[in-house]
Amino acid sequence: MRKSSFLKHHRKIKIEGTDLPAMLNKCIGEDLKLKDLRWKNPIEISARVTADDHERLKKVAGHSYRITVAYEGGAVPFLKKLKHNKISIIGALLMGALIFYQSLFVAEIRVDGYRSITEADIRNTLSQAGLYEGARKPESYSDIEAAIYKNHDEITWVSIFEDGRLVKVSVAEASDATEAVPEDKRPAGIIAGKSGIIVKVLPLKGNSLVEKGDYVNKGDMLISGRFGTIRSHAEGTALAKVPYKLEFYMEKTRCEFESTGRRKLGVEFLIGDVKIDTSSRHRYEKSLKREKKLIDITEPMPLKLSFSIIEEVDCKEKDMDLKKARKVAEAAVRQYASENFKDGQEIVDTSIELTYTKSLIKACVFLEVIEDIGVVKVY
Amino acid sequence: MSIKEELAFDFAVNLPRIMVAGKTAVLDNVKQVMLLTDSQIVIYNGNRYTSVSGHDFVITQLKDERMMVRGEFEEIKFFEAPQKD
Repeated sequence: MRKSSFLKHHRKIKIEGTDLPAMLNKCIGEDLKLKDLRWKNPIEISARVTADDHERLKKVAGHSYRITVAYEGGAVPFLKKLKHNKISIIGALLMGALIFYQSLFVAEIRVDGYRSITEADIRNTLSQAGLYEGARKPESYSDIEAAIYKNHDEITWVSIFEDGRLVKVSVAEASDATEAVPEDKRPAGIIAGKSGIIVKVLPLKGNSLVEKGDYVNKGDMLISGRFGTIRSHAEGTALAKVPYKLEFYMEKTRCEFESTGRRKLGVEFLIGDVKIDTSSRHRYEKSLKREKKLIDITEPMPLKLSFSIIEEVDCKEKDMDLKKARKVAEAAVRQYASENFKDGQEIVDTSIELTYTKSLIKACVFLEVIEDIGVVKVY
Repeated sequence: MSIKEELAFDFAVNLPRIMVAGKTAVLDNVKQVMLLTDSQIVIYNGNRYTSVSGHDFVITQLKDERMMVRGEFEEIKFFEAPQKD
């Protein structure tokens, strides 16, 4: 089999001497193969020969000609050069090891298929289960799939698979399509489900019995389905301003942190899944941590370097002032609204009254909420 | 070409034989190199001489009495060996 000229050991040589054609005639006589023969000047030519032919050529040339090697090519010289260049070998090995090591970590996560659940919720669940950008690839994703099923009842199917360093998470939710409810044609009117002041009445079917500004009690008829002796099914909305009274209690005093003056410098270094964190090595009972991130990347592999100052603090009990207490109460109202109010309910007025007890602050909150108070009542 | 002529052509080992195609020439029956520069090559074929003139000559291969030359060819001459007295 013919050896590739790229791999074959060859040398580019320079032949110097007088009567160079005589030298070439000796080569023809000895059956030496010369390639790329170039005439430089009357006493110099260059040529390319194999390593074996070069040795023979030197014998043929004897002392009459000077033969110098200008360049050596092929697999053998390349490996010999490499042997002497240990730093290159170490660099190549390190690069190979780095490429292999970084392939063990997740670079990107893609989530698709969600509808009612947000991507952030799914990512949060994945993160708690140990799958996040920069995390080491797990051997099996069954635990992570189980965590998704456990935390999200709506999800009926989960598939997690790797595509290189990309992890694709596909989910499917239970279909929320419900059977069409047949139209209710029973004679009915719309009554007030709650007491309040009417803001707007929109009767789609039936007669409105109240006007804007009317105060209605729970159970009052708002839209009637009666037309003389004919009874029909009334439809429409009745928006009313409904009062809500809420009460919240909060601690009269609150903890304010004051520095004791003792502090410690910490360094956190993470590469791959190797972590060195000196910031957690302190014996302060209470402390505040301020962190400055210098490097925080997940590509090509997780790498993080941050410096932190851990400051020892004491907790000083201080009375909460009115401004702060009002802010806490407002936050509690927002929390209550997000948990209890439905779409369509809108807070239009808020009044907060704070009263101090011996150890607590009581916040009485009065809300005015515009909402649809209409409820269908069959005759 | 008759068989006789073809055999004479193939077995003429001491006569000049040259094939030129564009910038490449193949000279056969190279017994000796008489002159070699980048503009002229003269070779001895055994009975006669071949002279190739031109410029930018590079001998890409010299092996088994065959010389492959690359360059611009201008003139090819064949001549007899000088008569010895």
